[in-house]
Amino acid sequence: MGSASKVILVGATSLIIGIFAVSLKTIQTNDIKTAMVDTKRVQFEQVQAAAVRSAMYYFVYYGCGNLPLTSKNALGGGTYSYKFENTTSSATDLTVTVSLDGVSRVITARVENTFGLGVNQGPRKMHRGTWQVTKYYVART
Amino acid sequence: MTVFLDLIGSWIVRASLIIVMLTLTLNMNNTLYRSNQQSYAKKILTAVDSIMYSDINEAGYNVSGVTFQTASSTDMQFLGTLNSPTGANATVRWYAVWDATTRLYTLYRYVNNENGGNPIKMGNTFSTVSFIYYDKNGNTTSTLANIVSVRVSLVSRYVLTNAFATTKGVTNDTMYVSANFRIHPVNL
Repeated sequence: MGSASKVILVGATSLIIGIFAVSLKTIQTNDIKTAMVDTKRVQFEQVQAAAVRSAMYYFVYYGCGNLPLTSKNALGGGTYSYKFENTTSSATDLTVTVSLDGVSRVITARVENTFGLGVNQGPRKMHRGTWQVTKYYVART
Repeated sequence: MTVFLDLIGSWIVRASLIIVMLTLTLNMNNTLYRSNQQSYAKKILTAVDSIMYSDINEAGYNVSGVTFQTASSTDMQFLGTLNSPTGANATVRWYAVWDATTRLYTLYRYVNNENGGNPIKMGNTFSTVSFIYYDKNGNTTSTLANIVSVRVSLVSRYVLTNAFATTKGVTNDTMYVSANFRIHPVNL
């Protein structure tokens, strides 16, 4: 085999393997991106729940009244702000805006005073004092 | 004579190298094809399970009675508000229909106030569709009023057509991708 042929053979083989490696890497990157969708979803849900629990803490701490829109607070790599409106002795409307990685979600929640009765126990339910979330809605964007 | 032998040997070596190269290329292309198809299938399944997850997550919002209306292993129907916190309640149904010919499930999503009340086909490649329902104590339940969480398992089957399947006696490859998650809707 002549020298030129050897160079062409080696070059062609390297090119083929190189293209293969790059293509495989692209596919793997796509796989990781797909897997990250689920991870991000779970992370965002956790931050949303934590933001509502945190807002309820301030609600009880400041005496269970209307609370104006707060400035942004840092939480779990994101930020949140909250507002309590239409507060009575038995219920209040909570709006929480959570932002994470450039995406925002607005949570609308109804918080009711159980007066210590009929509290739904369990880690899923959001409580603070005698107040608990009875409706929880996350707006889709 | 020695020159002829050298020439023949040289041709054999060159031909062998070319055959090895071509085989390598074919194998690598096949691997790329499989990987690409698997990645594509995962992406499609993720899109479907994200919509399902999002729907189930809103179950029970603004519902005063029993949220779940149907709860079988391949059919679930529930009430919830999907589009606005002040909007009307929607009836949402996810169900799978078995196709005896393909031996696969077709998965449908129905929302009474979307798409003119017509179900949307979400895919027809599911070899497994399974919904399991749990009560507040974490036990499986079939009592509609007791359901507070749902486990969803989806397995999607794809047949990768092999170019040599008919000519060389090579069978087509089958590939599976799956999704498995459990949801605790906050309003239940």
